[in-house]
Amino acid sequence: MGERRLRTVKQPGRPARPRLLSVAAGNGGELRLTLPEGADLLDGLAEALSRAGARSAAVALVGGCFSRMQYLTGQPCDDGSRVATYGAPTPLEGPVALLSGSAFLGLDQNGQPIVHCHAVLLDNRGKVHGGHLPPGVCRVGAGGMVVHAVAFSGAALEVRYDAETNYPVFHPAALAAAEAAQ
Amino acid sequence: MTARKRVKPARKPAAAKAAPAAMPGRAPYSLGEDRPGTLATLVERGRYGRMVLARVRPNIDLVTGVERVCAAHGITHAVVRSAVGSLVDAALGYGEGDSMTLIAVEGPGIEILTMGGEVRPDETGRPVARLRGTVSDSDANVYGGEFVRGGNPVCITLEIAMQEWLPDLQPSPERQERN
Repeated sequence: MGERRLRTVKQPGRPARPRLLSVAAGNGGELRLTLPEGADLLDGLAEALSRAGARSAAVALVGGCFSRMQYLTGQPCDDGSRVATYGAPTPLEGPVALLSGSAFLGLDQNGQPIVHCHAVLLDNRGKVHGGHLPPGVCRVGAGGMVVHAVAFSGAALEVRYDAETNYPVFHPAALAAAEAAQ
Repeated sequence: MTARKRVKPARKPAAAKAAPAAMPGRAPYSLGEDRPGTLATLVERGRYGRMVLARVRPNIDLVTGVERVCAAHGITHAVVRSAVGSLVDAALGYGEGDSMTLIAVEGPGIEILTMGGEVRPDETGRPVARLRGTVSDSDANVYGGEFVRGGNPVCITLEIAMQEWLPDLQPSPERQERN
C-alpha cells in the first residue's frame, strides 16, 4: 500500500520545534503489579508505582475487571481554543473487563506522580469500547487488575504546558545524575 | 461531529498468488524450504538495550515519526513498550502487502488505545517500523489494524517508549524445525 496524503490540522499555537522530542533512558526495573479490588485504577497505579520506586514508567495493562468505570473519547473542539477535546464521560456499570491498555507514569507540574492511560474495554453485554481513562472514577473489581511496568532510569516524563496544542502534556526529559539517583 | 468510517478496498494484486497445495497429513504451507511440509521457526538470540522515550508533536505521521526517533538514536531494532496518544485521522490496514485493505477513521481526536510493533532495518540499514494496534473514535467505536505509513497524523501528542533489541551477531538465523 503506497503513501497516503496526510491531513494536517492547524493548532491554536505556533508549531514548536523540534517536532520530535526524545531521550535515551536506562531500564530502571521491571515490575508486575496487581491492583486490588476497590482501588482506583489511575490513582492506585500512580501511588503503587511511586512506592515501588518508579518516577516514570511505561505501563502495559494486561487485564482485569472494573466494578464501575468511566471513559472519555476525543472529538473536535468547536471554539477554536484547541483542535480536539474530550466529550462527556461514558459511564459503564460493572463488571467491565479491561482487555488491553497502555499507560505512562510521569510527574505533573507539581512534581507529583500522574498516570496517562488509554484502554480497550468490554462491557457487561459483550460490547467493545475504548478511550481515555480519567482518575478517580475507574474502580477495580473482583480479581484485581494486572499491570506490567518498566521504570526509566536517567530520564522522566514531565507534564509541561504546550502552547501549540493548549494542553499540558508529557514531555521526555533527561535527568541529571543527582536527580536520577533520588 | 459525526465520526465516519470509510472502508475502501485497496488496489488488488494483479494476480493472486497461488496457495501451496495442502499435503495429506502435513501442514498446508511451508516456511522451511529444505523440508517441504514442515514449519521452521526463525530464532534470533539477543538482548534488550536502551529505552527511548519520545513525544511526537502534532501533524507528524506516526510510523515515520517513530522511525525518525529511532534513527536519531542510532537504533535499527526495537520493540514498542507502551504508546498513548491521539491522531487527526487514523488509517489502519488489514491483510498483507498489495491486498491490504484500508480502514479510514476520521477525527480529529482519534485516541490510540493500544499499540505494539517493532522496528527492523531495511536492506540499507534504515529503521522501518511496523506498528499495529487499536483506536477509538468520538463515538467510542473501536477499530484495529496496522498503522499505515503516511496516514496517521498525530493530533495532540504521541507518547511512546521503545526498547532497543540487540541481536547477537550470527552468520544466519537459526531454524528451529518443527517436530
